[in-house]
Amino acid sequence: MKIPAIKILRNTDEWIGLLVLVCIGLFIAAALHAGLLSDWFRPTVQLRIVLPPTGSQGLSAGADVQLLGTRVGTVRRVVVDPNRIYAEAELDTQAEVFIKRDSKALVRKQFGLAGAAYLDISRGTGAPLDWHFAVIDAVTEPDPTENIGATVDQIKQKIFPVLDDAGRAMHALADTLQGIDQGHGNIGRLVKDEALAKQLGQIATNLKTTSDQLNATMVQVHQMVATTAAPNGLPALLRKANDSLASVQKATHDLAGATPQLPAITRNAATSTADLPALLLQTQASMEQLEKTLDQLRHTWPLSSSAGPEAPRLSPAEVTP
Amino acid sequence: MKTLAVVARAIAVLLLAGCSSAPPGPPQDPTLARLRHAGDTAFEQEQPAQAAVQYRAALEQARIRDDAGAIANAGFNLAAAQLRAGKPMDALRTAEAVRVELARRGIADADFDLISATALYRMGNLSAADAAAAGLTGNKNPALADAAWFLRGLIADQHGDRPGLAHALASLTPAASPADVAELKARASGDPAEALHAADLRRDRLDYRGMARALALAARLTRSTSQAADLYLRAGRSAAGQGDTEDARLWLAQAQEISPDPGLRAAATQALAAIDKPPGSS
Repeated sequence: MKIPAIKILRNTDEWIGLLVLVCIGLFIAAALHAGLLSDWFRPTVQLRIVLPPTGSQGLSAGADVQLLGTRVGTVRRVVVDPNRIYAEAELDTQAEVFIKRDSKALVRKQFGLAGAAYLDISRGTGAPLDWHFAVIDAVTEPDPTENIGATVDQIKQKIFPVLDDAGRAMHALADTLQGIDQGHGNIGRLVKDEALAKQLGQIATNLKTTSDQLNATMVQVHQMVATTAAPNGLPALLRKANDSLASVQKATHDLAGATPQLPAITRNAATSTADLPALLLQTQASMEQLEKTLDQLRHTWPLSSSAGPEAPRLSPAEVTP
Repeated sequence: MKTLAVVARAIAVLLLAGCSSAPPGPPQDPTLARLRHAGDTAFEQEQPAQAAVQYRAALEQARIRDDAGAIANAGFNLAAAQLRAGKPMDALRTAEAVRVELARRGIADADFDLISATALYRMGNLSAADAAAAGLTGNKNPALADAAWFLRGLIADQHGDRPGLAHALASLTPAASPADVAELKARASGDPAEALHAADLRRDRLDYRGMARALALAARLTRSTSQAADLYLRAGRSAAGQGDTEDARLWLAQAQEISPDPGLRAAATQALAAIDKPPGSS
């Protein structure tokens, strides 16, 4: 009755081998699905980033390396030696064309002030890197808290003098009010001195009197205007002006009568003046002829001995100090 | 009768010879000749400003003609008229411009150095005037050399350089102007009578500017205060009338200051007021 059990034991090794093969197959399928193998076969390049002497801001192995906002690699390790700190990063070969000698790596936090540190590499435009030993420098992003502190300091520097001035102004105001209360100064005297108050009252009374007189004057002015408007006032003056204008109008009429003759007079004057240049030229020619005649006469015997040649230049003796 | 015919023939020959005109030279530019003649006439009639206008037009005409000799003549005449009109700065500019223009043509004209020296003296730049005049003292034209020595004598006297004044006086040629000689003699000897003699000679030559200067020199040299004041007044009035206001003010102020006579002081004051407020001005 124990024979069937022996048969089952005889196939155990095959079943176990099959189980191991299935497990290996599942492991390979899981690894492929997780992308681990693709990472192994993906071509990469090594880049050293020299970190700033102020520190690495928490940069550590496994941190992302971004280029133009795209993740292109990972920091493999951060090396601290006595002279400097640098990070070794592994980048996709696709990033080679973007990273040049003038590229800079900026150490940033994931959320500005907090979060994991990562490297953001800027696109370069200079000479290409030697990717057998590629090194670029890194800088740290300015700490926002430093700016906030500096801003607070500036506000303090501006606000406190204003507060001091305000304190001094309030103190001076209090002193002034105290002085007024004690009767010092013009305003104080005005407040405390009863005689001054009486003088002010007197001035107000005088003002009222003056106002009454002004009213009386205005009444007189009204009366004067009414007198001017009377038949012997302004209308008479206007009549005289009207008569004068009538005389002027008559004179203008006479002038208008003479105006038609003006063009003829102008024409005569223009004709006369048009002849003037020719007349002047003829006179000039006559004078020239007369001068020549006189000159010939001067050179004619017996006058020739008295006529010397006309000197072209004044004598130096005419130049006197 | 035969003798009479011979005499008549001789007279006819003489008349014909007399009527012959001088050989004609190169044709003259009538415009240039007319402008120069007009300028000369204005200059002789003591109208130097009008003369300067005519001479300037003549200079332009000479440049149109591109005649170096005419440019030199018109330029010299213009500068001399500007000096006579009391515009030494204009005269200096004219002389310099024409001198440069002539130098480009390779012509050196020493007459313009005399203009420059005199203009500089009038402007009070004595050292530059002396340097310019020194270059003329060796000129072969005695008129130029005498004018330069006279100018150097005046400058030496103003500097108090007695040996220099004596040297200038001794260097004048016999052809020098008697008025110049008399003035330098008066300055060298300190004799007011000689200065008055120089003033008389200047008056005869119609050189009223020099006459006023000689009168002021006589006033400086005379010992009588009243006579000096009178001479200063005469010199100042003459200078004021010629438009030389700077010297006129100086001499009239001297008369006003030293005169013991109230009437003369009043006359000097009136003359000074007339300078500051010329007739016709409101």
